[in-house]
Amino acid sequence: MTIACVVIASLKRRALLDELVMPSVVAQGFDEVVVVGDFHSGDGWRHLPFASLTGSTIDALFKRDVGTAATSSDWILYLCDDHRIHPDFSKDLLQLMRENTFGPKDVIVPARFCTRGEEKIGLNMGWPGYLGRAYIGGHGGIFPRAAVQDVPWSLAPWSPQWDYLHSRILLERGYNFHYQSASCYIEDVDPNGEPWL
Amino acid sequence: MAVIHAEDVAPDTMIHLMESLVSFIVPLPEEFNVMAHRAAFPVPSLREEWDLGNYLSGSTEPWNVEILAALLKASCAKTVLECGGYLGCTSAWLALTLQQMGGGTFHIAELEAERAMACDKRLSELPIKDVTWRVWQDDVFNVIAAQPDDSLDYVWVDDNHEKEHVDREITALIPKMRSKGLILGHDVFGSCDLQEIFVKHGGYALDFPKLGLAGGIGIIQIR
Repeated sequence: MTIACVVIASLKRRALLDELVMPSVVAQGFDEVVVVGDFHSGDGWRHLPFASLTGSTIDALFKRDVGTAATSSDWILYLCDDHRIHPDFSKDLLQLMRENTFGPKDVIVPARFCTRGEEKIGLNMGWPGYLGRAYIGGHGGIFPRAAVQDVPWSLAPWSPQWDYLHSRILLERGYNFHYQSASCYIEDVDPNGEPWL
Repeated sequence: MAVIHAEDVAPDTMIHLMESLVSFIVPLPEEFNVMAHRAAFPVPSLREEWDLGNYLSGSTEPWNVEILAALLKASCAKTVLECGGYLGCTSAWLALTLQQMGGGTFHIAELEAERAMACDKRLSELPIKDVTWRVWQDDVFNVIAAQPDDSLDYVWVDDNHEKEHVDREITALIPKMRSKGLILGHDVFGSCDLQEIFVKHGGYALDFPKLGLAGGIGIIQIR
């Protein structure tokens, strides 16, 4: 079993990627790491430039497909550039995969949190979701390659709610979402995420 | 570990959602983009939102969102109502500001299903653990009627912009407001021209740069 990490990058978070996100990704020892979007190549990852198509969050759909095509691992972790990976992420993921029989219709959803002062605050990743309809938040997710080949990202409606709608397609095709609550953490580290700044 | 199965999904929902959500994407004329860029740039987080394309045509302008957040803080509000959530951009700012103020209660009235979903999804992913919030997919007058008298501290009116509707809305809101509470409204200048409605109810209208045909903020403080 091999795991690739596809990081979706945007120019405004270049410093965040350099300082927090990429060190956390490289430290995991993934089989492949690619960064798609406005960034640069570096030790431990390949950079794939991507010219903006829509100038909006919808570009992430196409960047994810580029990352999928550029890798070959069995599983793909898609990561938004305002999240870093917990140091134990890979260890947690491998243990989870050892303890469960995940197949091509199973998607693993990381636990998400942010830190405010000394406090760690759990953040929603789409469960139970809107009106009880679950989804996999666009912040991160671990997908079998077969799932993304079955439902490429850009197949989802080109809407700001693309993560919700892509998840609807997967669920209607019989996929299962495995939400983690105490392992496989990703952390929202966007320093500009507070609107009062 | 929670597992969601395919049989949990209502099968006829997705196509409708696909069709309706795609309609959110309305490109702005270039001159508005340039103006908004210039105005938003001094504030990193607003610039980011703008770069992400989250301020679509119809969203409250970023400079006005800042004013709304400042007035929310100044008013020490604990109970907030937003009439017309749209994509949830202003909702997110108000909710995060409430959280910074120590928490509170936040109601969002949004009649259209796909917009209510966008607001709900956006708020559900934010670190606002001390904010009790609810997106009401309902007629705004039902949502206002459901609020107890003297219960609201701060209301943002940004739904149906017809004068008669806004007039009725403010009339319905006034008994629900606490003393010194604020009723604020969008698009009081330009094509909607709602300034006279705010003045009629004892308020004032502020004219600011617009991203579309209408803009500005109306403000009423309850005595």
